[in-house]
Amino acid sequence: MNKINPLYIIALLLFLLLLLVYKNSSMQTKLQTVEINNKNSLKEAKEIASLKRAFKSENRNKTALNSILNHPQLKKYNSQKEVSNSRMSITLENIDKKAFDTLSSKIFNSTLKIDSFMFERVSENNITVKAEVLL
Amino acid sequence: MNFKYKLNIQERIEEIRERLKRQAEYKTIYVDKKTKSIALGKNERVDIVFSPAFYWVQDVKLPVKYEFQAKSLLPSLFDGILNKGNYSYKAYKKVSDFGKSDNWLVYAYDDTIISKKLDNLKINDSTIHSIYFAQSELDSVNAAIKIDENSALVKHENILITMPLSLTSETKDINEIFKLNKRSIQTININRYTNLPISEKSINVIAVTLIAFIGLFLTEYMINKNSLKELYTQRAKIAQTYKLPKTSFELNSMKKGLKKIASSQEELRAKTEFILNAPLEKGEYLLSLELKNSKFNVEVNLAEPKRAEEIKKYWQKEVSIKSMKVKDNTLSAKITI
Repeated sequence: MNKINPLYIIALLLFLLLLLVYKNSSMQTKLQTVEINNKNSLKEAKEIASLKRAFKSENRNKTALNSILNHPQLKKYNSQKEVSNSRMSITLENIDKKAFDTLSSKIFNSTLKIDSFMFERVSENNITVKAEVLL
Repeated sequence: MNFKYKLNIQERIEEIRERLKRQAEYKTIYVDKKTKSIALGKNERVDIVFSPAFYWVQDVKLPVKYEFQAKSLLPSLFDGILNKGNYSYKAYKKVSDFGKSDNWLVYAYDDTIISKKLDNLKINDSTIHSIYFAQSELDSVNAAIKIDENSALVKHENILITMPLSLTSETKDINEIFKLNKRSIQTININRYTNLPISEKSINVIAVTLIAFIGLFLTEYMINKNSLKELYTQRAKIAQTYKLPKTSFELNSMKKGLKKIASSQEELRAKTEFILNAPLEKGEYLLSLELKNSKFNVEVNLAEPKRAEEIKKYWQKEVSIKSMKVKDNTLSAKITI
């Protein structure tokens, strides 16, 4: 015997359809939200990665400082380097104005974490510089 | 004994077993046009056998093997016999003592009439176990069958017909036959919903349309679900690639820390540049600068002491001067950011 009223079946199908429409619409919203979140996450991740690269990489900071000291205008000076637990300091004595300009612009334009910086004019043309960066 | 015959015996055994099982469970009730009421116990389920008044039947030979093939021929078999109405058709292959024969019992019946009768007798669908026609259930009985005080069923050319009891001689009671003979497997399906506001065709169209839409939305849902899964994987990949912490709390604190470092370093550079760019005149120069913990100690050689005020004014635009003194044209200042 056909025990189920066909209208009940239609109602059930309609209910299923409405449920699916609702589920789909929620899913669409969720998709959009997750997509936006992912875009933001990627942007944030890139930002954090670049910040980490700039300020959280010990090796990179050491390399950057060494590469500054290896600049042709600075290479000729006898630099003193000291590396402690989390910092590295350099001292260059009696360097000329050009070398001073190169050194200071390189340090201040880099992403090194400057902890201290000091210079003193020792004579008309010579300057002594001491810089300390955090690793 | 050949294999086919063996199978037939096995089929019959199964059939009998099934009948016995059903017989043990359900009472059989004969329903005629004259039946006014039926006494049923609470939660009792019954098998109902409808009298020949509720159907048209033919015993015919059909050149087909299966029921679905036979069914397509049925409307033409009853063409010209039936009154106007919506009829359902059913065909069963007759079973002889030697197995299935080529003869078919074909039925035509009006669902509405049967349905109305069931309604009049106040029989719910849940009460009915199965519905049969008298022809299938009493086909094996050759004697006249007494159905009430005035009527009997008799066979005429293999078809059961109702006759006045007075015209029959020896009769068997129908209830006794039902008790002794088990029900057949020739059940009838009744469409109880023939009086719906929309036609069956429309219902089918609506149902198919709804199913199609359900299919579409289900597919879309599954696609979206997969996309969502991919997006979550993508997110996990971002975290893995950029070595980000798992919780947003850790992530925020890391970001905050790094940004703080970045902004303080930016400020430090900007202020240093500002201090070093003090408006010095010819002959004036910086003697020394010491930067430590965001504090500056600056010494400037001035052309004349009163120049100190001009330099002070300039520095005060962006940094705060904690102390300042001038001695022998040398300006010494302690500055904080």
